[in-house]
Amino acid sequence: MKGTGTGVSRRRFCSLAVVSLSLPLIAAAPETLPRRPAKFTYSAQRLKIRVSVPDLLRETDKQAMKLLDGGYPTRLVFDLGLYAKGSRTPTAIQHVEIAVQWDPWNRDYIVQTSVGSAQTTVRRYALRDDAIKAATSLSVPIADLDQIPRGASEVHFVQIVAQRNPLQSKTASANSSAAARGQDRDLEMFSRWVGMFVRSRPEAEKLVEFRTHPFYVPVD
Amino acid sequence: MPKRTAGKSERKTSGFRPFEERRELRERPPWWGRLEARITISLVTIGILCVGASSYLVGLTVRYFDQVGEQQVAFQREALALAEPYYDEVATAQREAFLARTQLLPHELAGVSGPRLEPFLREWIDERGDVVEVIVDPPGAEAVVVLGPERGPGWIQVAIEVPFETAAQAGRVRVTWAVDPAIQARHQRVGELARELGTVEVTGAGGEERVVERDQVLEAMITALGVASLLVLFVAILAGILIARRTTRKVSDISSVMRRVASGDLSVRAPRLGSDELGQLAAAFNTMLEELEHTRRRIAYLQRVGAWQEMARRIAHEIKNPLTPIQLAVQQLREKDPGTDERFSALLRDSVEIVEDEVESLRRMVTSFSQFAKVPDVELEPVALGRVLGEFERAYTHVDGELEIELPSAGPDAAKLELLGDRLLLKQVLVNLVENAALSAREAGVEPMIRVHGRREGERVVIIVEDNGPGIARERRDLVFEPYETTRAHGTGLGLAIVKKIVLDHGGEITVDQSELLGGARFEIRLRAPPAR
Repeated sequence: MKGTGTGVSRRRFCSLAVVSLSLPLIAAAPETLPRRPAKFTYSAQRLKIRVSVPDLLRETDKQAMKLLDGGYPTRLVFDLGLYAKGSRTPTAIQHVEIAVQWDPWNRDYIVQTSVGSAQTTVRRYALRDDAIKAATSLSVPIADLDQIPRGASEVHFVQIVAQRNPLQSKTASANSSAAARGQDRDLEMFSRWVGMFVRSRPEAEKLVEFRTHPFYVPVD
Repeated sequence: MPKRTAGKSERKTSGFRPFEERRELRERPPWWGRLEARITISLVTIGILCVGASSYLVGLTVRYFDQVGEQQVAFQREALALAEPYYDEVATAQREAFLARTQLLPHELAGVSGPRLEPFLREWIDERGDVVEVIVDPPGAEAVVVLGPERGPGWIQVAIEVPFETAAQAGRVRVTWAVDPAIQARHQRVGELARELGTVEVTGAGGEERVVERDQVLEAMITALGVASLLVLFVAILAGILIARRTTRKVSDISSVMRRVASGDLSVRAPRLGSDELGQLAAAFNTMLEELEHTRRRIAYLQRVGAWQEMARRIAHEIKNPLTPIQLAVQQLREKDPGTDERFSALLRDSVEIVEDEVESLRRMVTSFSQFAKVPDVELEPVALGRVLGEFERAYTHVDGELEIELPSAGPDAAKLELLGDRLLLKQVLVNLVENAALSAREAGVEPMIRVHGRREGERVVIIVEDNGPGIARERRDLVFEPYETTRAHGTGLGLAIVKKIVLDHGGEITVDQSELLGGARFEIRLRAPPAR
């Protein structure tokens, strides 16, 4: 589904703001992360990245395979941030969610990919290995080319935070309303008091953080 | 009444050991030995024990419920593990059922061909209700595709393909079956529950919801309880210190005053400490100190007067004995004068008169010394003030000047003006005071005007003697009662000393002030009233 230009810009701005705020919470400083290889290509409009994160979901992980073959969807969430070298503020961000799931009705694996706010694409694989490879290999656009300064002196890298089945908070509880009274209110206050001492970093079944090697986009 | 504050000496004391000599009594006990420190330590210890015990019990409760929750999680995990294969089994069974049902279609299609095929398939789809699509690709003919009723998105589609064979050629039949997505949604929900098992949603300080592991919540709760306990403990310690300080401050003040008193400083007074028991104790202690100081001064004065009396007695004895021989000797000298030489006779007569005057002067002084040395012991008895003043009035009207004696008026209260005293000695007191007043006024060049009257003040009877003389300077008012202290040219300095000794022997007290009525001195004698009968 294609949106209007204004709608797309607004969504991009909102997602950039959300991820800009959430990335520092879930990830370490980008310059300190280990490096991994990635491939960058660009067209007239967009910069694309191809990167593989095979350690996010391996066939040797028995617990993960048990859940996968049990028909439960395995969610792989990738947060990508494009950084200019030396900067801690991303130039562009991209949020990718991939769900891989065994379909016992059709005897194959479904890989559903949603990039940003774009429509979800569905791919089916007869073999689990193929499905896992497809799920852990990203080939997504990361930024519009006109957003990126070009030239050999403009070095960039991409920070990638990949999570498998991150814990998601449910919808806000109806009980936690301002109308709570008496013991309920005290309980809510105590919950917040305890919450102050809970680690703020969200948990996931697996978390992989790395950055790509530096690159630049040549001037045509 | 002088203002009194704790630990501050506003009166000079003498006759006691200076309290520097008893420095050990002035030192406060070490801080751990003080009442405040002990109460504070006790309260803090109790607070620590209470908070510690409460925290321990709360910690045990938390861990107990964590164990209970863990057991529940284990049960739920087991239940989910048991439920997990059902989805696959149901899917497999359903797929087998779809296969069997699909395999029946070619048999039903036997003999159906040409234009009858599509209506037949539509009827076949309508009879079943869970078919999405049927594709029949018969051998040697064009494939027929018949769609089932429209379904919403999300339905699971299961395509089953079976061969459609005739004797000559082989074709295929493909039926796409629809499965309610609710079963998949339920299974996915089971998967979510399996993943969320052991996690808890907590509310952050800002109200944001977060999902964390149970272990983290347990650690956070223990930490939160520890911090809360420390805060409570801090408040308890603070409250303990404040309460202990407030409670022991009065005791500390009284203790401080007592230590100074014990070290010899009787001028110190306890501060006003309210109306509770400690306040009453402080007031009683102050009263006791007043009486103690009064008694000490009285004793010191009587000791001094006693010493002076002894000296006066010796002097009187030593001077009195040779006076008579001297007087007899000079009288003989005067009698033996032959009168032959007029000049010698005049010289002798003058010398003898001088000697006789001096002897007479010495005799009067000796008499004064003797009176001072032989102040008789007081014999106390209830006596009416009016009687004392009346007898004094009758006996001493010879005093020059205007002596006004105000007798207690007759009435129901007149009988109450009784005092405990020695009537004769009290008259001597009045004589000494009145004579002292008259002489002072006369030396000041004014006609004496003296007023003597009395009244009752509580448990005391007050006799007041006031005059129109020059009065007594404020700085000399403590000295006028000392023996041999006088400002008069011919005074011996013994009259007021005798007065004070007699008053003190009565258990009373005498003070001197300025008379507002007559402008001279005003002596107030406070004597005890007899106990009520």
